[in-house]
Amino acid sequence: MLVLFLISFVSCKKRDDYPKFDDKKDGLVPEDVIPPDDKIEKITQKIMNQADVVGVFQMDSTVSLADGLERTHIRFLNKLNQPTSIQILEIDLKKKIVPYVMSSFDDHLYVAQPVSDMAKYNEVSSGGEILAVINGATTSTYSYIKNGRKINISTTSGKEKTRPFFAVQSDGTAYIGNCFDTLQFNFEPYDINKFKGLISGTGWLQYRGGVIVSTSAVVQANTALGLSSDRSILYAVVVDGANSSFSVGVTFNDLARIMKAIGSYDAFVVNSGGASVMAQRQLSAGSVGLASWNVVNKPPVSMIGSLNGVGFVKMK
Amino acid sequence: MRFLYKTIFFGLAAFGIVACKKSIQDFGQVEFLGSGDVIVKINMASIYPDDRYMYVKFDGQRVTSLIRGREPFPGGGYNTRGDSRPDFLKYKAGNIKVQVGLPYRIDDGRDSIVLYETQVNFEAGKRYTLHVTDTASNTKMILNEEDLSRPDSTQARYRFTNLMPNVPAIDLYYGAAATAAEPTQDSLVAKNIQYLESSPYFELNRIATRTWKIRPAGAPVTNASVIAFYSNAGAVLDRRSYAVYALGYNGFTTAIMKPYLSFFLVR
Repeated sequence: MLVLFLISFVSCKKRDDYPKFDDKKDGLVPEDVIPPDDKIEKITQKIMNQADVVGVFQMDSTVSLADGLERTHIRFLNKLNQPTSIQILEIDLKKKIVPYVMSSFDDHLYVAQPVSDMAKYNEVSSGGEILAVINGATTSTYSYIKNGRKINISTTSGKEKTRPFFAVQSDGTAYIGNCFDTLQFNFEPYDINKFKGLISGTGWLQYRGGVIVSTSAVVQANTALGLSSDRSILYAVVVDGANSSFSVGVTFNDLARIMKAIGSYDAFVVNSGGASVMAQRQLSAGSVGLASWNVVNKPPVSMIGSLNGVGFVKMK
Repeated sequence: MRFLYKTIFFGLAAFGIVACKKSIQDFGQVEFLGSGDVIVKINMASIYPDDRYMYVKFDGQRVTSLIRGREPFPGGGYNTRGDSRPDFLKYKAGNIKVQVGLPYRIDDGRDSIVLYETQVNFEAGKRYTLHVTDTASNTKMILNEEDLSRPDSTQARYRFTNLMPNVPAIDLYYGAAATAAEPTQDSLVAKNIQYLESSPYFELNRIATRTWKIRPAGAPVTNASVIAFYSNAGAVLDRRSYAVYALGYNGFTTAIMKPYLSFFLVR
């Protein structure tokens, strides 16, 4: 009877397919191996020569996404021997690559979406192929125009009014400016009604070729935009800072020097921290005409969505 | 003692046999939809100041419980008094006499007043929503056939119906909550929808923070012109189809009479 009693309890004990949680799994974390790189790209050389941020160069690589659009990835140890990873997009605006202000879900709402998804939603309204994207703002206080519609162009706070902005005019030309009623950084007069798209950032890095000195010493991930003096070349820079063993990030002062070194004349920080993301268009393997946008930098695993972003579009 | 052992023995044996039996989820008595059936949802949007109970009859037989205004039956909806399930009534197809009635003070099953009566034609295999609005002798009803297909992932489908007796035509917008001075995020999605009319279907991305708003048709896009709004907190599922409707009376402020913008799930 005792046996029967035991059988009745033991018989239901386990299913065959029940996973064994006690089993140890081999560590699958890939080792970060930086391949030897003897060839230094031109843009990297400029940073090494002029910016005084590179301690030890590790590697770089440049890919051409289209005629007039190149992405360069640079890894180096900074002056404190800390790893740093930078992604730079160099956009030649003379060659039919047009910046396009994207919004989450291609809508006019201030809602967050990962920029790689945002690109998918915005491609139709962009009028071409979005080849690469960077993140924009993460809070709704930032100025923002989408397809000529002013979602938010000024705020009541004095600080907000000194915010720099990047705009795309109706004819596709790029513009970096400041709030129209500020005196701190004067720009040529502009007509805000002629902007097709606009996103604003957090602080100036460069104004009229000069580096703006920041009092902040925070080393972090950053996204920056800069424009050459003739407004023909746009620079979009994303510095990683989520994983300190991969990249610690940069200070605003170092980033300002990098922007100046690569050729920008006016530059500003679009955003800092976990939302700093760059993604690149890629056709999905095995599917015809289905594009996806792969993140090329290393944002945090719980990547923060952005309210808007800038896509770089090859016009049809 | 021997009897006790026997009882324990057989008890354990029975337990051992029964213990491993698969549990069966009991859905109760299920009636499947036949080829001659339709499914119908009744949207009671007749609003009385005393918040009275009503019922709907098909061919002389009550098919709802006692329901009040802003109480879709069955299954309720968002910004209504019920919960929010895409439930429908199953009924036979054909020409059906539909009546909206008021019960006696103590409901004994008889009609106190039949407020409205009409014939509707239910086509077999179709899905309908039956909207009831206005009051007393002005009670009106419209029958909408609903699309059974599901929108693509990340998308939701909507159709707006104006059931607000004192607003001749309505514009439906979505945007953000009215915290900014200007509603710069508002987008028009259904334009100039006349009383007792419905917009075409439209599809939108599933965005959780959307706030829906109604304004009189052609009114300026300001915070002041909003008749009623509903923040999207509940109706955020994708691959769903929603009926959106305006009900109540513009200009009233009491909880019963004031304008509402409500939703219910069609699919």
